[in-house]
Amino acid sequence: MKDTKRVDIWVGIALMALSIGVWLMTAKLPIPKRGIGPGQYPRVIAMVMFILGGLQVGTSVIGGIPEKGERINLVHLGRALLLALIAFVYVRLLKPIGFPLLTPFFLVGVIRLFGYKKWLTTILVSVISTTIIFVLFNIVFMVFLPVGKLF
Amino acid sequence: MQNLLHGFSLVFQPFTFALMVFGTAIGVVIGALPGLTASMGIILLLPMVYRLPASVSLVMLCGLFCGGMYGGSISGILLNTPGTPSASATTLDGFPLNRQGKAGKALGIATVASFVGGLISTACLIIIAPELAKVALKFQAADYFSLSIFGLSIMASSSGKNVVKGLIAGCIGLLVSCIGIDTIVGVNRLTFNNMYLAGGFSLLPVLIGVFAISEVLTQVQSSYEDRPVTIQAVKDVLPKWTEIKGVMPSILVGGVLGVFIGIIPGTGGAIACFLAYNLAQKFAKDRDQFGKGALSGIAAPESANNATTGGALIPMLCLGVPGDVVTSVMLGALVLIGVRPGPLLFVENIEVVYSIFAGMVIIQFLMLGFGLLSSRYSPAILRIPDTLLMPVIMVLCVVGSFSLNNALYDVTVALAFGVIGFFMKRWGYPGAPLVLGVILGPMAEENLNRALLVSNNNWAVLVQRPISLTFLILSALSIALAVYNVRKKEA
Repeated sequence: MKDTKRVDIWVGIALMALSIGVWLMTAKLPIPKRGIGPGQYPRVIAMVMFILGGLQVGTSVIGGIPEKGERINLVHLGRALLLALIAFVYVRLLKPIGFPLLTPFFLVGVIRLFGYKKWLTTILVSVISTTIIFVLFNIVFMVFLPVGKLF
Repeated sequence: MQNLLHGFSLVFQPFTFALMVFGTAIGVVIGALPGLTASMGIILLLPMVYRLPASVSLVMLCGLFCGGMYGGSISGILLNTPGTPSASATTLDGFPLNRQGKAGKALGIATVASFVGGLISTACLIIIAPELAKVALKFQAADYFSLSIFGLSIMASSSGKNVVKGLIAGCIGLLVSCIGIDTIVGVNRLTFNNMYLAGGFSLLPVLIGVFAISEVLTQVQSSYEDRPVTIQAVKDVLPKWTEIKGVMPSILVGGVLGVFIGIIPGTGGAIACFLAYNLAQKFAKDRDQFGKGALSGIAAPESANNATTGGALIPMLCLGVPGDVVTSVMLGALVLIGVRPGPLLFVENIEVVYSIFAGMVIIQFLMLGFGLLSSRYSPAILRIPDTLLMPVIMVLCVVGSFSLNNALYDVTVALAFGVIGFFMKRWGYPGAPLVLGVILGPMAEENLNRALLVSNNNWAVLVQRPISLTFLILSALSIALAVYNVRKKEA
């Protein structure tokens, strides 16, 4: 398995910082006379998280700061992040452009990103699956997907 | 008995039956495709079914659960790549049989073994679950709080290689469940005065993000390396009676073992299949053939992994504690459908419970039918490339999260949790404890509050009640055992 010790140290530190943040944010929440208040419960979780973060940093540092792990494959990671970015943009554009018009383009882009080479199949799959999903949700499940401002 | 008969009458209603058939068929297909899991299938189907009556949607999801468990064996035998981790042991003898040109025989035995294993587990579910629920009815608030902690700790300690990472994921889940308007006093909590965050995070987008979108993001990284598509033709699927008789002891051993492994929270099919395989090898007459294409080497793990389905449903339905990752998704599905799992389910929703019981019986027969009739077409299913499937799944994830409230905000939440889930997976943090934390968080808080109200803020109430104390000790033991196992492996 890929060595993640350096990442673990940073995650541990971030977790401890998050715990302190939660502790401070819940400081002003009301404390009832009986029972657990709205602030106490997240504070208990924050406390456990702080300990776990410390444990994570401690166990990773024991034996010295670890050497750098294997190099990250930036192409692989970049492809995943690009897909996430495309998906966020797609969601932002869904309302103005609409599901039936935008989704085939989104699908063509993502299928190409996945590395599928045949254009005709790509276009057919994109159009047919968009139509099926749109009809299924709009008519059968009565979930009205955005149709955009053009219609 | 009368309840069970009523359950049968409900599942035989045309609409319910049709959905059950559909769920089982889809489950087999999803299980057969490497990279798609039963949990992902349940999540993708959930937006379409959660508005239906609980008994209808749950029976369909059970069909998907069982079908998915069985379907994993198809690609295991034909491609040497198990469709699900639960079919890992099946490949050891299934693929050698395929190379000998006996893929049909291997699939036939896998189908019969899955059927018998499923029936054994369903029988145990019907017998054990109501009795366990009667015991669980005596639980009080402190016991429920400790039970939530137990569920979370067992999932955290079993779903990853590093128990601390599992616990961190669980804590993040609990923290996520805190976001929004507090249910006890009614004040904004951790919302940064954002009106969207005031409503908290709905469960469905979190489920879709952590389990489905993160998987698509993971798959896109290595999508250029397509899986091999040289699959042999499948013929002679129907096994001979003498062959079935020969492997029956292995099937029965695997079935019983699978039920018990399934009942233990945090275990599941992957562990059961290897244990059953080893046990069958020890007692088999043809143990020299194991690894070279022994039929018992397929029968035992297949029976065991399907037997875990009914077993895993027992703690989930009676206590609200999932047996494995798939049942943790099922638990989320129950909550979303509006059914609160736990002992009260057997009082308030008896109809739902017995529909599940009756449905589980019918599902085994459907699975047998699908397996024997459609195995010859399975190579065609396995030729569907991931590169076409995954983008469509991405769109289904978007539509699924949108369907909850007809709001694009939920889609954004799902995508955000997808990215979080992707990095968690990349760095070895399991996603299941996070989701379980989101599910169990409100239950834990509500019951802790109730326990403290009743006991006048005496925290000792958590260790004064024997049931609560037992769960807390079990939680500590499960974590200690996980740490011990990791240390032992490292040594």
